[in-house]
Amino acid sequence: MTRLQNWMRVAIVDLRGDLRRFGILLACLALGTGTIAGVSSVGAALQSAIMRDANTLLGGDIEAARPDRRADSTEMAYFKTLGQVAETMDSNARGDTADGSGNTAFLDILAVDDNYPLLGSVASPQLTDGQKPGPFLAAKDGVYGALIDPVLLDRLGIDIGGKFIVNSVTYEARGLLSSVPDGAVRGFHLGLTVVLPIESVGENANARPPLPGLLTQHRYKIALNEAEGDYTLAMPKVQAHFLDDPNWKVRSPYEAAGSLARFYDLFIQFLLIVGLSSLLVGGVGISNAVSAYIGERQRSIATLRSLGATGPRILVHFFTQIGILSLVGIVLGLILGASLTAIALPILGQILHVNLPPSVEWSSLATALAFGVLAAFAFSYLPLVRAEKLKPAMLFRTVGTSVQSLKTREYLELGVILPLALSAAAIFGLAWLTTRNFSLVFWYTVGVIGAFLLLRLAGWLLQKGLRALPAMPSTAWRNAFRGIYRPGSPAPVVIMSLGLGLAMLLVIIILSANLRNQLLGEVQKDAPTFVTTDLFDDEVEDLQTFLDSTGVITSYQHSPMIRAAVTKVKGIPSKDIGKVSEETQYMLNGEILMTWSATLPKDSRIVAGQWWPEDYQGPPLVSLRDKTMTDLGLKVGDTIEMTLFGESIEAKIANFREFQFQNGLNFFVTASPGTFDDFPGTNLATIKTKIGEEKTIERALARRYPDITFIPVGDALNQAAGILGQLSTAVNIVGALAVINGLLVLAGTMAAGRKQREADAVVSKVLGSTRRDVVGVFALEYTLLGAFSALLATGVGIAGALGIMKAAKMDVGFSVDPTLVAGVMIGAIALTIVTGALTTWSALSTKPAQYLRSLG
Amino acid sequence: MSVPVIQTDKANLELLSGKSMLHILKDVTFRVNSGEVTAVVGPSGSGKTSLLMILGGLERATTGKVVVAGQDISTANEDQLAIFRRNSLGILFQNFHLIPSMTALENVALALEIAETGKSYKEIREQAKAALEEVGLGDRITHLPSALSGGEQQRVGLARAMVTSPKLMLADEPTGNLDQETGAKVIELMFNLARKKNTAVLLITHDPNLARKADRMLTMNKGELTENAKEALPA
Repeated sequence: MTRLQNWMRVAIVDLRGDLRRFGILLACLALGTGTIAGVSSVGAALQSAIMRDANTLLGGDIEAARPDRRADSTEMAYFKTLGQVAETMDSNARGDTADGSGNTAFLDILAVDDNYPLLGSVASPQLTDGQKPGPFLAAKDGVYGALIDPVLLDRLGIDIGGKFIVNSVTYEARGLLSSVPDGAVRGFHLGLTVVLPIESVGENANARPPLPGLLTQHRYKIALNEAEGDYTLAMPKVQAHFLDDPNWKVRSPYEAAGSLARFYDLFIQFLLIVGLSSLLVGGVGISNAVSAYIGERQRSIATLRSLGATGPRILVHFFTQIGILSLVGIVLGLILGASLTAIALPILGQILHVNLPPSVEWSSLATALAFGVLAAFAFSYLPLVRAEKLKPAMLFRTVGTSVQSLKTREYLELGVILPLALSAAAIFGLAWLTTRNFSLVFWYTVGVIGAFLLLRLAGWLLQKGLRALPAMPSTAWRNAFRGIYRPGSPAPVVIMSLGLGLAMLLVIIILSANLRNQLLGEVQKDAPTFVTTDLFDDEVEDLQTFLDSTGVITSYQHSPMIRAAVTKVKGIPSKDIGKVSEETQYMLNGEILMTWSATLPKDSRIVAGQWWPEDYQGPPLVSLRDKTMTDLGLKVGDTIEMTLFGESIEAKIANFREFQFQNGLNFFVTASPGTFDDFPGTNLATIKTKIGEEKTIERALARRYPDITFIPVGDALNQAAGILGQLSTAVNIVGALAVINGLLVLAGTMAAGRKQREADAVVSKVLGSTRRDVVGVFALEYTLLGAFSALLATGVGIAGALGIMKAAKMDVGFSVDPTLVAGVMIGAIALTIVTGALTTWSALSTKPAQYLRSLG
Repeated sequence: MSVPVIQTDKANLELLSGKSMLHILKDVTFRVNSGEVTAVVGPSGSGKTSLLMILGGLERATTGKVVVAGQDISTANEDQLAIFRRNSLGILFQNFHLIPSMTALENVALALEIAETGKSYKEIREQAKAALEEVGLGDRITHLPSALSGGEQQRVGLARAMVTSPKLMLADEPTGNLDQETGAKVIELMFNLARKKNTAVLLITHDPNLARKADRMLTMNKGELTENAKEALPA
């Protein structure tokens, strides 16, 4: 047996005994590793599922789309040289029953050709597996077929075989629509989905978007020929082909995940931050647990030293022990993480409508294993070095249970600093490799080091400050203060652990609250139930009277509107302007809704320039949405040209405004009064009903105003809010897991100081203190420490959350709910006292004689 | 001719206490020969334990020379001192200091394992078992310290200190935590073993009866060590 094996064997023998003493260490490691394994597995599974399904989501290898027209024969011929092509068209229109019952519904139309879908299949009870809907819906006796959302049967009051009319074309409900394979990437859509044959919609000449954002899209999904390679090769080629026509947008499968990807990206970033925080908080727990273990074993260490054990032997002895315990904790954590992932993935998949079968991501488990091993090493190395340097002379002196800190010069010894620096670099590298986000990991590390130094300094200042205070008249206060500043006091460790732990909890709570706010959005708050356009003034008044008579309307707003096109920007024709964001492209693409107003519209904020005076009568001025400022490089004073009814108006930009379309009546372009006086304007109106009255009002409006389209935007917003709400639930679940981990660390910190409290309690009792006195002093001491740490943690946590959001470029609004923060802080202080009291209980139960005899 | 196991020459120990320097040991010069049992007596705080610590290499003399078992330990580093202890020294503590997670046998075997004698583990266990039998604990080898009485724990401590046949045994109030009868038995055992193995013993004690049993007696007073006639002790 080699010398090293011999040393390790003795260490293993020495592990025997009451295993409960390792509880906190094992729990910290298991939860820390489990959280990392779970978080990283879920993240990896989500990402690979998105990429795996991306082609199916897109419905092809690449997609070319334009909003204004179908591809002409030359373009179609070009697509066909690339591979097999399926053509679809997204649009909206109203559907009416053909039987004259007056039932109506707003439709989300997906018009398809015979090749659709190229990948995946349309799910319908009336279609056989893999059957294409195009031929199934072909005209029979002059009537086209339709696959319809089951809810539509109820809305229109028809059954399968029943007929309805869209833009003068009659359709027969030939089947029910369960899902389309590329449904997720169609993005935000309004109304109930119907699948129609594209040749039937092509006959409709009246199709035009009823509201901003509701673009008709002509999509060409292409399954590339083998010769074209994959999308990475074909994409640049197709983009180059359409370089001169910015209306063509070419998307890869990854880009197709667009709207989904943003939510998932936010979710995954959050998971990463939670993972890093769990690692850090778990690490603090490990460090405390190892320190406490070494503290309790220091007499044994000194005994080994007195028997002639060298420093390296002591290091190997305790390194072996901590290593074995760490491996047990890490393996438990991996099992926990893998089990939770396997259970959580299908549930999460259902919530997110992504195929996530129960699986174990081995690479994530390997990552968690590596993180666990590195964290256990990095956070236990210093306590182990302190054990190595422990002098056996202590066997002859009375000492407490805290291990002497290293001297400053000892920290700088190569044997101390090098392993620590290497393990820190390895953790940093692994975090970088895992997150692929250098900036996030770098700033996170800087933040943690900053917080560490701040908390250390604060602990030192508190001790100095309390020592300098004049003696308090109350004995309890005096003793509590003394407990904090006396040599060997656990106060600096408690402040550090509690402060760092609480700060991390706050970071997670603040981030998840902000993310939740972003996910649930403001959309629900004032979102209307219906929107309608092109109302004449008398219709606005009539509608008001009608809606008032129903008694179930909570809000009715209207604004003047006119349809006009932005034909020039700074003198450059809109069609010559290159690539801009989709939203700005929509503004430049053709006619849009515009309005005019003397006053600043509600729910909007000026970000540049000034609003015109209420009585302004001068040359035309316009107010634009702020996004156009960056998109088009505009500034206040630039001009745009608007064309309507064949005439052009040049207007100077007076200001840029920030607003959300969902929050009120706001338009891309708002002109000064008088700008459109020479043209016939109409009105746009929004209606909000009481909850549960939407359907009744929809039918009533359809009957009363058969020529006006009322778009039920509430349905779509509720659907979106539902999905985002479920994502937010996922955020909550992961956040809660991290918080539980944090609480365990707090408990560990309190439990770690138990031996010292036992010694203090015995001395106090010997000197004649009652249990009440002892509890009083402990409670006061820990209340002071808890409150002080909580106060520091609040600052660190808020700054940390803000910093992380900036570093991670998480594009969500930032706000801190003071009630939430106060609640967490009060809870944390209460928890500190309760955990402290629970672990102090055994100290109080210790009989002085028993303890004094056991000193040895 | 007797070989000196302990040889000190004007050993001084000064320790910083707060801002003032305490002179604990003052010019301590003495020698102890192999197989010789020496008792050190003196009031509390006189420097007895400090003397024991510098002899055991647990504390370093500030000035002067300390040679134990032929090795100058006043200049050795921590690991050299550890090797010195494992090869030449046995220590018996007032509070026993057994490893609580190890059985009596393992506690004794530990000293042999740390000494790295090159023996197999089986041989180590047999030697440890024999050492425990020598102190009358052959039937308690699998017991953990918590299952042993104070006297038994101290006998395990004695077996551990003597199992490596050290040249010097340092005993710090070894009967301080035992009743008189048990203490007497432990001391008798210790003296017998020391004589059998020709081990020198330096015994720190407050007990005059115990000190009288030693071959010679030294008195420590305010850091100064003087040789006394045993008869000078109070009855």
